[in-house]
Amino acid sequence: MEIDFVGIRRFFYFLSVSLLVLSLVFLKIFGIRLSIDLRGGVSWVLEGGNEVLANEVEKILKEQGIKNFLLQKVGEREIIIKAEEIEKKDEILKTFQEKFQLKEKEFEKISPTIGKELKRKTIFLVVFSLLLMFLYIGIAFSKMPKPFQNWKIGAIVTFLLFHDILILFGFFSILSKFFLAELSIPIIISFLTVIGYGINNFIVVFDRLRELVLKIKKEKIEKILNLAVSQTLERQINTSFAVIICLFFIFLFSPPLKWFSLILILGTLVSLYSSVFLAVPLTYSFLKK
Amino acid sequence: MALFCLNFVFPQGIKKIFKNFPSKEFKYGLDLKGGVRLVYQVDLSKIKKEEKGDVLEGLKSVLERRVNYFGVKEPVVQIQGEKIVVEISGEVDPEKAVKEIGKTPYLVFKEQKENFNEIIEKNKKAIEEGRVNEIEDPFQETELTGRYLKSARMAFDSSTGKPVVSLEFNDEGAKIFSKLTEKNVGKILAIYIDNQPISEPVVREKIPGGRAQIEGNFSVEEARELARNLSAGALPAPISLLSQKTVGAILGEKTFFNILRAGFFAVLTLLIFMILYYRLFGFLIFFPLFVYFSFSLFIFLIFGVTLSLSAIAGFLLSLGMAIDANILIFSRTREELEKGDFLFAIREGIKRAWPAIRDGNGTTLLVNIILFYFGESFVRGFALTLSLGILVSLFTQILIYKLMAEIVAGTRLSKIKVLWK
Repeated sequence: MEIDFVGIRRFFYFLSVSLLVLSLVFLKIFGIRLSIDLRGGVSWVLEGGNEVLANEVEKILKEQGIKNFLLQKVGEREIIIKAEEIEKKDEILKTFQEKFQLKEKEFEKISPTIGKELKRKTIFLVVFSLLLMFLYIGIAFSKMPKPFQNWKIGAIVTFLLFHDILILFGFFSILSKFFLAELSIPIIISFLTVIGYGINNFIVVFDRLRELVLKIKKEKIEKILNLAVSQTLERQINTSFAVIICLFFIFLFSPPLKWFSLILILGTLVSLYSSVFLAVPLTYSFLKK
Repeated sequence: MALFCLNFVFPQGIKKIFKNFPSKEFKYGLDLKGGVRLVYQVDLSKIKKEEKGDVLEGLKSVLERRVNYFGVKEPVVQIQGEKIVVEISGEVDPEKAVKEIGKTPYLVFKEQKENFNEIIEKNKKAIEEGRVNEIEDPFQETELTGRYLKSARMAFDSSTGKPVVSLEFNDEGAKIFSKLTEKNVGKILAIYIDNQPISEPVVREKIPGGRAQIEGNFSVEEARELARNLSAGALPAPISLLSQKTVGAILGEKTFFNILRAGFFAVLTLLIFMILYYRLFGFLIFFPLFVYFSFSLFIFLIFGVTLSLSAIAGFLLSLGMAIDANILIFSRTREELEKGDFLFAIREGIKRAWPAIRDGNGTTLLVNIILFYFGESFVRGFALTLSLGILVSLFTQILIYKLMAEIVAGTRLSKIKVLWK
């Protein structure tokens, strides 16, 4: 099957740019819900409630002067309260226990400074990972024959990784707005894992490209580029499939990990997309310049 | 080659008979076992920088002793930065846990400030004038805290017959106590427990022996209780509860069962896929995968890797990547089958696929190392099992597969090309 990946590149450039713009738009209008890991604050889970009690609880919280709190009912019996600060929490808990027979299932307090610290750490880690990937590619492909340059390839791969993450973020923004997903430490981990794993796909393609360039001297450059993609296409799809299967079952059977696995699944798909339709064509575009 | 195989029957065997090594059982994370997780913030503001490490260690042992009172198996007390994490597994009432640990007293000796009398005067005036919140503490904390306490017993004062708590300090503590008493002869050396003054005796003379007595109008019961609490260990620094999380044991079991189910279906689907797509190559994965599982689990067992939910997820992901490697090899091998015979194809397949496998897994490992810096238990569990799984898979999926493939190469099966393509 011969697909002219290089020839149809403009369509995919357009598609990617639209996706990127869309992601940025979503991020701007919907934002991302931060969990208390990153925001700081208080998360309180009470057990044993029903519909009526949730309203009562809300009333009491208001009476106690707790500002800016968020109350959710989860499942049949849980009430989740999120706030910046709950003073006299123990007293309030006693009231809940005595009046409504509510039990405390979980209570977590994270100071905003720690939250800020974590935010900083995260940004640093993401940037650092991308940089590391850039170096790794540069070194791994240092014996790339002309007219390809290892640093250009490194730059392209790093840019595409960044592109993948941005699209994922945009998608997460939708999850956040409509499905109450929160950006927490596990989610950050899944993003970082996408960087680490996604780069695999690019390596497979460029590795094949290097091999072909060294072997085939007498064809047009476009043809060699296309061959690199079509020859690796099968295994790209299969390996992505293998990983997605594992993640899919985790998503299906393990509710605590659902956002985590969903992000990884999507990350794998987006990575597949960019390594097949964007990586090599971009290399071509950069060649001419 | 047969020797190679034998080597790996052992870990699998051991894993199955681990009952013979009763000391080694899998460690499960709280989210699978159920239990309570408490995170305390430690106030190290009054501790010198060089001593922070020691104080945290001391705090850890005090809490360990206290948690052991619950009689649960293997409580986990960990230091994370300036926080202490206590995990008690099994059926535990979180209220009780918090209370018991909360009972760990913070003992500190305070001495008079330089301007003690002035402050007392000022305070009197402030109370008279109703400016109650301007009262200053006329005492300042010394470095003599529960950290140096060796033991505490209830006793009866020799002269008054009243119940007292008799303290004995360790060597270092005795030295500090000696210096303090020497410095404060004629002055008050106050004893505070949990920020409440319990006793304010005047120092009569330097006390070199490292023994002190707390006389505080105790009843016999109170003295006994205080002595017991102090002996279990007094905190070397104050702690405050930051977070508390309970996972019910039933929920824990469900979570565990679910993730195992996920793993089972994942493996099943992958095997079916590999056989359908890669024909007989698919069957060649059976044994390597089996070794992969046994060996990984063996390593987790031996090194006491805590199997939390995230750890198991990481392991499952590494499974996906292990299959990854084989897919790369098989794709390549099929191509090479066009050109040469079976054995050649096998070897070329591995050789050609290796750079991609190496780089792909290498970068994932790199990112995992970065993940370790997060320091959160979720991350560590995940990164650890993912990394270990990848390393083991590199070995099993390539070398052991090669072994099997070469064995098959000698048989007639390999001649029937259609089975392989």
